[in-house]
Amino acid sequence: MIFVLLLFILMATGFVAQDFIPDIDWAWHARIFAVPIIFFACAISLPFPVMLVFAFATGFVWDALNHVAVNFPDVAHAALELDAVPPGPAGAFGFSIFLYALLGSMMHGIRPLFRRGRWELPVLMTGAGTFLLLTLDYLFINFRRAGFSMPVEVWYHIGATAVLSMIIAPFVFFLIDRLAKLSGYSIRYEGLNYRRWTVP
Amino acid sequence: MRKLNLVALAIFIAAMVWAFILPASTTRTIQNRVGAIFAPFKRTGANVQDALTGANEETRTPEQLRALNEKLAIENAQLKIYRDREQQILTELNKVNALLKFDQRTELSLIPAKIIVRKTSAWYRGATIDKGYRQGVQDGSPVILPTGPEGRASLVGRVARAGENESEILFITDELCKVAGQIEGAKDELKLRGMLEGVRVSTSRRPELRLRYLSKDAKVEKNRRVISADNTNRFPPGLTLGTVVDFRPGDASSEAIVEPAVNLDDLPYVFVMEQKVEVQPPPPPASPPR
Repeated sequence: MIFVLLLFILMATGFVAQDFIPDIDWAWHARIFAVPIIFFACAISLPFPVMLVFAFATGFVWDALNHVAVNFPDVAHAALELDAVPPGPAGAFGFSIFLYALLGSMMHGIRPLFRRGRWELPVLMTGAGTFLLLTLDYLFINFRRAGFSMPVEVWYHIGATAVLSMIIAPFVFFLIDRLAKLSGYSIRYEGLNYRRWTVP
Repeated sequence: MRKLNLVALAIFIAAMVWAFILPASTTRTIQNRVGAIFAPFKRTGANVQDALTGANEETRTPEQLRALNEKLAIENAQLKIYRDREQQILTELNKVNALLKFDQRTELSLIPAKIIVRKTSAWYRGATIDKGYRQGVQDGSPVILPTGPEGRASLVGRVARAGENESEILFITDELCKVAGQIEGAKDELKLRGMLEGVRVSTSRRPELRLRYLSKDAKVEKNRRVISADNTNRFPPGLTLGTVVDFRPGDASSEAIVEPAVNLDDLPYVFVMEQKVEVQPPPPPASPPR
């Protein structure tokens, strides 16, 4: 319980810190995404139901802070005048919750490795998770705006952000490992329950 | 899968559906409340950043500051005279509007604001300013800055969401921040009117804009100035948007590539245009015949 509380505090700190992490010019404006990295680390160390609670909370707050919904009546009017396509919506509030739950479940699958102190795959998976998070988010924006645009810069940006996440991930894993030890929490893995079927 | 996990998954899906179907007004309230919780951290962090980078350190001598103060006092006096004159013209204009039976009239005033934090989202270009609806900021209000030697009002972006004491603005370079624009001084205004929008993704610090939906017969020379165009009385016309750097004729419509007038990397402060739309009361009903 104390460990979960500590992780919530860590996540809140991540949200605060995120606002002050600048993007990197020479890396296609990639930036360190503190919130997803912390979330992925939490997803590895928590039981599935608690991970879902984390996914909901993280996605909800992320959208509350970053979701952009614009409604400019003058633009809609001008579009009609010009015979242009009226501006489409930016995105759907709550979509990040779905993304975090999806990717959190993926990370949850490699809990046994993390438990045994093997961080190689979790670090790689953090990079892959960040890559997927940004890719799915971008594809959804394209879908909502009814026009697919996939310039090569997008892939550079997403790729560089994923690499940055992988660089930072071990530090977050180490921090969570420390917090688990401090609070006396052991990362358990229930595993899948196999039921042996016998012919009646 | 364990029963507890299944129950958790079901509850999660229900909660997610609830979040998806929240009405826009509710999500806006939630965004304002969550934003208000994080606001003190943003402000403190911005102050810390300023202190660390020395952005607010004064490097000018007292003599320089005195000279600057004198210059500004003279400019201020001049501007007061211009403002009074403008007020007179506005009053006259409103009288003409009343005669022509226009339904609305618009008065503009400026709200100075400081950029606290630049938006951290991967796909949006924007920032948070330190003024909200309590100070008169409204959704969709233009955010401007005087640029060039003439100090012309140039568009920085628009207010996407006005919170209580701070607001989110979208920069003009964001694809969502569309503005009706036209080439300044064009003889055939309709042909040279289009929709100015940013590109979805660009790694450039100062991405170019596109003035789309120009007439297919249009021809635009480089270095022509693009200004805002609006005839709905909802957006101020004549704001400088940028300068044409390229022109691409098309079969159905043409487009001009525009360099933004404002350097968005260097924004010490901005002005939000407060639009007070005053609706004229309807004319009194004719008195019944006796």
